[in-house]
Amino acid sequence: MKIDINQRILSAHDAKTAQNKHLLAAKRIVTINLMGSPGAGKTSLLEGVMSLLSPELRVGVIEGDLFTTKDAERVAALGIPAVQINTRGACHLDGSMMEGALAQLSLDEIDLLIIENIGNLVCPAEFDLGEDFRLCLLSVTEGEDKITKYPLMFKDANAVVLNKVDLLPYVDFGLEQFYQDLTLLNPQVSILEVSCRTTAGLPELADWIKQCVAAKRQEMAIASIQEKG
Amino acid sequence: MHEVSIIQSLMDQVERFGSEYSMTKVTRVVVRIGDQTGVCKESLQFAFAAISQGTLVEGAEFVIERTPGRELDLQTIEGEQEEPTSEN
Repeated sequence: MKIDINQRILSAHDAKTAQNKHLLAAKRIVTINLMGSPGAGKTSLLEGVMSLLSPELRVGVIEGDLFTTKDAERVAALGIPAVQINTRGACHLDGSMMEGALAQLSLDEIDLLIIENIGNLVCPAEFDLGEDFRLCLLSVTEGEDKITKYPLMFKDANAVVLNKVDLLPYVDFGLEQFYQDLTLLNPQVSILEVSCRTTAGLPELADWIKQCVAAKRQEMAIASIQEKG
Repeated sequence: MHEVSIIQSLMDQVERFGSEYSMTKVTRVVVRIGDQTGVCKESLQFAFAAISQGTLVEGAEFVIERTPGRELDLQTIEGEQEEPTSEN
């Protein structure tokens, strides 16, 4: 016998993500999924931007890594609630891992949740975690060709942050090509240049995040007025 | 790289539908994979063969249809059904 199914293979993940998204919306939490290669500077970015976001925003962080709690410890050292997910080999975070991590956070005390995904330009792009915004980090030492080599990652990003720009004079990073390829692939994307080492560009990044939070809050407020109708 | 997780989800789905329809053996599984997903066909085949071992899906033909978009769908499954038991 033959059965027609026509169902998404990741429907179990999709269902968990919808459930997580519902919980985050109920708690009025805005969520950012931070993605990029290992060593691009994702945790350094969090460290650098955190003092510019709080106390205005109460931030919580979910750290995804294969092994160790090193990143969660770095974030927790700033007094920020952080939960570490260890995937023990898996290359991305999924809906059920997120569910477990959310259960460990005091969601009533968080305005903005930042998920630092596994360092990888391939797999995390495939797994929507229910985030409101996608922030992709690329560093100049990786090369501008990563945009066209890993289009899936950069195509859906709300912002691409180019890190380590203080090294631009010393590396062969094609800045013009980077802008050209990225805007062709993703015309709506916001592009920010930063150096976590010198802190250049971090205030602009903090402003971008605050604008995202404000836009999402406005959207949520309108939705709740419409619900009350 | 995440083909194993995808096949694991697929296997859960196939086994669920298989038992719902009282299948004793699944002989063919057809999926649609979009070109805009970061999924490698060869890795899927490998993961399918490895993970289906010892399940009712073992030995089933695994057909991957490529599509231009971002599809990641289980299309159809085929299999042998349990003979209805006659009451004596």
